[in-house]
Amino acid sequence: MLVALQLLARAGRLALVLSLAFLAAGLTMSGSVPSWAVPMLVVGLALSAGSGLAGERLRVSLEERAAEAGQDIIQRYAARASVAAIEAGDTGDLVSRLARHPGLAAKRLVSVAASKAACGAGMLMGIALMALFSWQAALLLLVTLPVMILFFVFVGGLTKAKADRQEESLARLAGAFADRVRCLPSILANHAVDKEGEALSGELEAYRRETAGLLRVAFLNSAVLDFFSSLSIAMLAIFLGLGHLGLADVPGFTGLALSQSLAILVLAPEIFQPLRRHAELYHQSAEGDVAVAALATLGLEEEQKSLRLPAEAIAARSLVLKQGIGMVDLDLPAKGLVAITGASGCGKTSLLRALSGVDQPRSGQVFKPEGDIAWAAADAWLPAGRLRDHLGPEADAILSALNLDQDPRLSDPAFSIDEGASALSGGQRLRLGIAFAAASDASVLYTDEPTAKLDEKSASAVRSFLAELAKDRLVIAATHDEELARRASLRIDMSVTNEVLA
Amino acid sequence: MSRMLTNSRWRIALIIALVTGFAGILLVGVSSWFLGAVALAGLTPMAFAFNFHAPAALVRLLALLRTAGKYGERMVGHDAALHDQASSRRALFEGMAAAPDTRAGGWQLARADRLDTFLADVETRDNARLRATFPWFVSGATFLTLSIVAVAAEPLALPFILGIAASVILLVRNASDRAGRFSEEAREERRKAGLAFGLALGSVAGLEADGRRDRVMSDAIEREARATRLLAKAERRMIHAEQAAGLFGVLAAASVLLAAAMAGKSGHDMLPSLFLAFSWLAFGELAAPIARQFLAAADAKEADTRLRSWQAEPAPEDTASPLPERCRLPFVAPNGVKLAESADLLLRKEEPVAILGSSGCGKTTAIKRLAGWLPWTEARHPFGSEEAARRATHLSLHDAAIRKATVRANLFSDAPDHELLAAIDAVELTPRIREAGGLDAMISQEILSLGEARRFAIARAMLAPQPVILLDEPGEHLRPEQARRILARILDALRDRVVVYVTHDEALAQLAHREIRVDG
Repeated sequence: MLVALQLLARAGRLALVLSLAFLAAGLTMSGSVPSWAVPMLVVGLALSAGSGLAGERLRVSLEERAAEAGQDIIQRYAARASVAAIEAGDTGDLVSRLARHPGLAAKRLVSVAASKAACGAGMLMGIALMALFSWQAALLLLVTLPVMILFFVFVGGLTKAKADRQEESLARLAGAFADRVRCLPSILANHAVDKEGEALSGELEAYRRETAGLLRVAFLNSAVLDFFSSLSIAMLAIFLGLGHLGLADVPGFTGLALSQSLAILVLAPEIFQPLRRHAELYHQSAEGDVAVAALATLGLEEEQKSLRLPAEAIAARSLVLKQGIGMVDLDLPAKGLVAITGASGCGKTSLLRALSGVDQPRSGQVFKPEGDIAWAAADAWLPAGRLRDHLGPEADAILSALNLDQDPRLSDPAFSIDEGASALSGGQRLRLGIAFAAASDASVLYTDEPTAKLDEKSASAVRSFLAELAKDRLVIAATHDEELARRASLRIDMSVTNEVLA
Repeated sequence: MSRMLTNSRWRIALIIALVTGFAGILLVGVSSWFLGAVALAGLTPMAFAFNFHAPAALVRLLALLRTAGKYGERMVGHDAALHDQASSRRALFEGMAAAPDTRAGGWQLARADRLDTFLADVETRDNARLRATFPWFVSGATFLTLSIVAVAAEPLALPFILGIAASVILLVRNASDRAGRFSEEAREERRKAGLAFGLALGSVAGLEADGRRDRVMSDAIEREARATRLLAKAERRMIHAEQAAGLFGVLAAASVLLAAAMAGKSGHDMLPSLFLAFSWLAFGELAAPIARQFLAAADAKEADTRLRSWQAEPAPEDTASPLPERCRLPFVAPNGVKLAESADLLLRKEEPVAILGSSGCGKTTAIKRLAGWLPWTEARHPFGSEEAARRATHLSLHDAAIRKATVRANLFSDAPDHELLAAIDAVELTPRIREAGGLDAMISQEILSLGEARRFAIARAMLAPQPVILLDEPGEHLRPEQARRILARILDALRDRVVVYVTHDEALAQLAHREIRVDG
């Protein structure tokens, strides 16, 4: 459909330039306008504008839909792929891909594909039209095509090798500038602005030289096109001129009327037009291929398995954690404070993640009752918006119990969390995570190192708060805080694997 | 625009582009005129007397000029743009370094979403000259020339052509205004989508655990989908204008021919009009992308405005006054709210001072004021001025960033290798750096843990030559014993300097000669 509209627009354009040629020739030779030239001009105008508009509208809509399909793939990945796979990947990269890849892939699948399909047909249409006036002239152009394609392949090969290097240096350059901007306060603090500025200039200069080298070759591609389209106009003009004067007897170029020769002349650049357009899309085509391939791999990612084996209480049987740490069977109470303790790296967080269903253990079963659970860790997700709307009527009590009201900002009733809570410190974010858990209906709270990063006063507030919460909920905390562990009703010491200490 | 004329690279590129533009137009115009002339000559016995060679040579020359010119124009134009890019980025970097926002706290461009939009702006602005101003100049000049030719050859057609041109430009301006607004909205939506998606991915474990993952992820992606829809809207707005611009050449050519018909021209009288009509037709090729160029120019202007907000003129150097022995350190939030009583601060060598207090009491703000990073509250900065304070101090930020660069470049020091290694050893990073590959190994924020990054920043402080060293939370992200060990070593190494540090840890504060307790 899109291809058909584009071809129709092309036909309209050809009709337009032909009617101009006939108009001009009629006026020059006899001072009269051929009766059909003006209607043909109008029809050409309507056809080219009408189908051009319709084609472009269709293209935009198709690309919009294709881009949304690409976003759906990323969404499915983000919402369904296993947590471990997402954490192992480069999330910053995935974020920037969300903004780029669906659009690029859509362009590749719609614009580039359509122009590829319309290119050959569009050129043949022009050549066929020219053959009506002189098949020899049309043949002349037809034989230039393979020569041109040969050049394209040759130059394309040269460019490809350099383009990879260019891509690399571009990434390096973009990285060098972006990285310095990101670290600007640190550069300032170290009085290194001049030094880094110098280094930046040096890198930019190196990039410029490398790019100029690539462009010298890359522009040959369009130079080939320009060469053939300019030359064909010049050659045809000269041959046709010779024919008119009767100076030489070139078959196909002698005995033509001015209308015919002008038609041939104006058709020549039009024949190359689709190819030119396609060449302009060349860059998008390469980028689009990369985007399509990247989206396709995301689509193949393994899905998160649901690990919720229904049960009365949280329990684990024959559990072996990801790192291969084996556990004896676990049975957790319905409420109370459970502390998972042990030295760094002994698997505290892994056990927490296995019990909550975030990670799949290497083997064994995890049982979990129905009901909401809450997660409070330094990386917990905090909703943006007015804090007191999120926390409900208990807000002030909760904030003061967690020693969060020390900060005058947080004690302001109008305080609103910005997206990502970037205005808050790590310790404040962690405590807010606990506050949200307390305000929710969750019957189980998982928390990772709830007292780390806190001053003593805040840490002790958090301990008391968790102990209070544990009176009617289950609070499971991975912690190296001895003080907190002492208040637990059940302690799982991971340094003593295979053993659970009550 | 003025830069295009004063910069020699742009000047050469413009001249080549003009020659190429005219060659392309003349190639079609002259060829058509030539065909008309020979066709008329062919009707008479004068055919053999027709000087065929001059126009034929001209046509060939124009064809070659156009091909070579296009190549040259692209090369020289891109080269000029690359030179521009290099100098503009350097200037941007230095302007940003001078801007007060950079020091105010919470460096916004450390956040991926902001940095991405910022970089997109830089690129848009860098490319504007090549993509918009430059082609405009060429189409403007050729348009003017063809209009002048039209006055001589077919004055009747001129009002039509000017009318069509004016309506096309009006249409394009209108459309690009609206499209610009939509793409502006899309840019903001996209930034928010990136931020929300990044946060959601960073918290994926917690979201999976509490069952909110699906909803939060779709919310973020829905934002991006909204940005896509806005961009499509912007594109749709441009379609009419683009089609109109694409038809301009044909319409102008038709105007000339119809005007000639109305004037009843024929034969040799018709030849100038023939030349003019087909020249306009060829001009159409130059004019077709005008809609995109308009949009690019508008985008670049917006981007430039946004970039300006990050920049400032470098402050003038002022005379240094000797460092004071003591000062009153205020504890006032950046918004002016008083957080605690101000304290007496003694600035002496060998007598490090610890500022101890719970989080949110204004310790960090106070030390940033002392460093000249935030304006002093009342009267003059005790160091003479904020600028003088910045020169005299090294501020070790608690959230110091690690560049993606070698260890050596990351230390920002010209000290000899053995001093660099000693500083790394003092912060207990020797095994880590050896494992990475030594002083010339590449490191980045990602490969270091938070604690390692903090220790690295302390090593920078050790190597800093400034007389006053200010440390913000030197023990953050470190185990208590390790923090104590490292801080003791630092204080010892910096005996000949004035050292002030901020901490919430009693044990670390005890290492100081004097403590200032701040209670909110």
